[in-house]
Amino acid sequence: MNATSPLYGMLAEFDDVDRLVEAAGRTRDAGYRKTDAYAPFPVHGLAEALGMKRTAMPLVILLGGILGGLAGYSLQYWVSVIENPWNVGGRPLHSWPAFIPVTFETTVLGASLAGVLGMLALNGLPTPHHPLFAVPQFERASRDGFFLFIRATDPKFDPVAVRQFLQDLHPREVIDVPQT
Amino acid sequence: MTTAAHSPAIENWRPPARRAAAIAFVVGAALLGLCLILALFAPQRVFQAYLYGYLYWWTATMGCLALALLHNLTGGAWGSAIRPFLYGGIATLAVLAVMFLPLTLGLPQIFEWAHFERFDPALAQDDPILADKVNHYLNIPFFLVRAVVYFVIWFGAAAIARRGARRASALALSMVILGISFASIDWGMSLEPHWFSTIYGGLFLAGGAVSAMALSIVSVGALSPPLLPHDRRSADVTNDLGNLLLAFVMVWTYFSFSQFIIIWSGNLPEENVWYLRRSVHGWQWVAIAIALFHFAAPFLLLLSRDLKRNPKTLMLVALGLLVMRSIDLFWIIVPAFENHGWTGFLLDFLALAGIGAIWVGVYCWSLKPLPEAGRHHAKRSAKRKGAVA
Repeated sequence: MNATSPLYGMLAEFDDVDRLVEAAGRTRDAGYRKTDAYAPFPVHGLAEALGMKRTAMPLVILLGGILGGLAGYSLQYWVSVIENPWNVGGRPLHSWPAFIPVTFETTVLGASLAGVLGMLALNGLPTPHHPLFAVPQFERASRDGFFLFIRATDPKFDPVAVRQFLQDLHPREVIDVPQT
Repeated sequence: MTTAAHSPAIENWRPPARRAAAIAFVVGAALLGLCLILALFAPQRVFQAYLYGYLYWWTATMGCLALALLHNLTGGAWGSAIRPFLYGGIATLAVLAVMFLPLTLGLPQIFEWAHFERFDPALAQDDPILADKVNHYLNIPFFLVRAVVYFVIWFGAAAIARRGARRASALALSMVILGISFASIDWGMSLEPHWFSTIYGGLFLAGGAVSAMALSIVSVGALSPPLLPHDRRSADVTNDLGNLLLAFVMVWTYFSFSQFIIIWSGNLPEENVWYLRRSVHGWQWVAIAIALFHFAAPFLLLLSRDLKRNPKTLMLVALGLLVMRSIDLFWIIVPAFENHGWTGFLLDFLALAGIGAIWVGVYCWSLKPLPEAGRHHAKRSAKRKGAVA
C-alpha cells in the first residue's frame, strides 16, 4: 500500500456479526459519526447501533405519489372538461368517479418512480469506483467478512487514536484505506 | 428486572378476561332482553335491527376464521402474535349459530321475498323476476338449508384452522370465502331482491378482515405484553399488524369503489337503485363519512411508520375502524328496510350492542395463551414459568 497517498479512512474486520454490532455501538458511543458497516447479509439493528439517521425516502415517495396523483387527475380534467368536452351518456364533464382509477395508477407510478430515482439520488448509486474496492480483504464483505469503517473526514478522526480505538474492539485486522 | 414490571405476563390474561366476559354476558343479556320486550311493540323493526347487529359480529367472526386459515398457509410472526385472538373470534361461531335461530322466526318480517310461497301465480303475474327467484332460490326452506350448509362449512373450517394443517387450510379457506359470499347474498343482498352485485360478498369478506385485524390489534394492545419488551422485534410485529390493517382497508376500499364505479358507469336502472336509495334522505352524509373515516383518515394515518410501531396509537386507529365498520354496514343494510325510522335506528344500535356484548363475552371467555403463539414468545413464557416456580 502506498503510504504517501492520503488516508480515506480506516477499516476493521470482525469475525462474526455479533462483534460487528457491538463494535458499531461502541463506535457510535465514542462519538464517531462518519461511519459505515458492511456485512454479507442484512443485519437487524446494525444501522441503529451505528446511529444512522432515517432517510428522507418516505417523504420523497409520498411527494412523488401526491404529485403523480395530481398530475393524473389534472390531465383527465383538462382533457375531458377543457380540451375535449364530450357528452358521455349525459354525465357531467367533470365526472370524478371515472377519474379515480387513472388517478390511482398515476399515484402509484409517481410514488414508485420517486422511490427508484430518490433511492439512487440519496445512496449515491451508481458508484463505479470506491476506495474500499482497493482493499483486498474487502472482497469478503460479500462472503464471510464483517467490516466497520470510519472515514477520515470524521471530525474526531485521528489516525493514531482511531487505529488504537479499533484495535481495542478486538477485530481480526485493522486496515488503512488509502484514497484511490 | 424490567420485564416483570413492564407488563403482566401472558398467563395473567385469564382472570381479567374472564371477569370482563362475565360483565359482558350480563350486559348482553340485559340489552337483548330489552330487545325482546321491544319486539312485543315493534316486532318488524326489532327483527330488522337484530339482522343488522348480527351481520356486524358475523363478519368479525368470519374475518378471524379467514385470517387464521390464511396464517396457516403463509406463516409469519404477525399471525403468531394474534393467533390467540383469532381463536377467540372463531370460538364465537357456536354462539352465532344459536343467535341465528331468532332470525329464522322473523324471515317474513325482514325479507320481502319471504312473504311469498313458491310458484305463487299472483306473484308470477305481478313480478316475474321476483317470482323466478322465489321459485328457485329465495324461499324459506332453501334459505334454511343453505344456512345449515354455511354453518357446517364454517364449523369444519374452524376445526381445521385450529389444527393448522396446510393443505386442509387451503381448501377450508376457499370454502369459507364461498360461504361468506353466499351467506352475504342471502342475509344482506336479498333484502333488495331485485338488485344484484357480484362483488357484494367481497365487501363482507374485506370488511370482516378489517374487523378481525382491528379487533386483534386492540386485543394485542390491551391484553398482550409486548412480545419481547424493549426489543425492536416487538415493534416490527406491531408494524406488520398495522401494515396488514392498511392492506385490508385498501382491499375494502377497492371492492367498495369497484362496485360503485361499475354501477355508476353502467347507470342501469335495475342496478343504480341501490346507490340512489343510499344517496338521499341523509344517507349521502353517511356515505361521505364512510369514505372519509373508513378509508381516507385510516389510510393516511396508517402510512406513518411511527404510528404503526406504537401499539397505543395503532390501537386508536383500530378502534376507530371498528366503529366505522358498524357505520359501513349500517349504510349497506339499513336503507333497505322500509318503515324503519328513527326508532329503528335506535333499535339497530341496541341490537348491535346486545349481540356485541354476548360476542365479546364469548371472545374474552375463550381467550387463552397458546404455546404456539410465536416461537420466541413461547420460549419466553416457558422461561417466566420457570422463574416463578
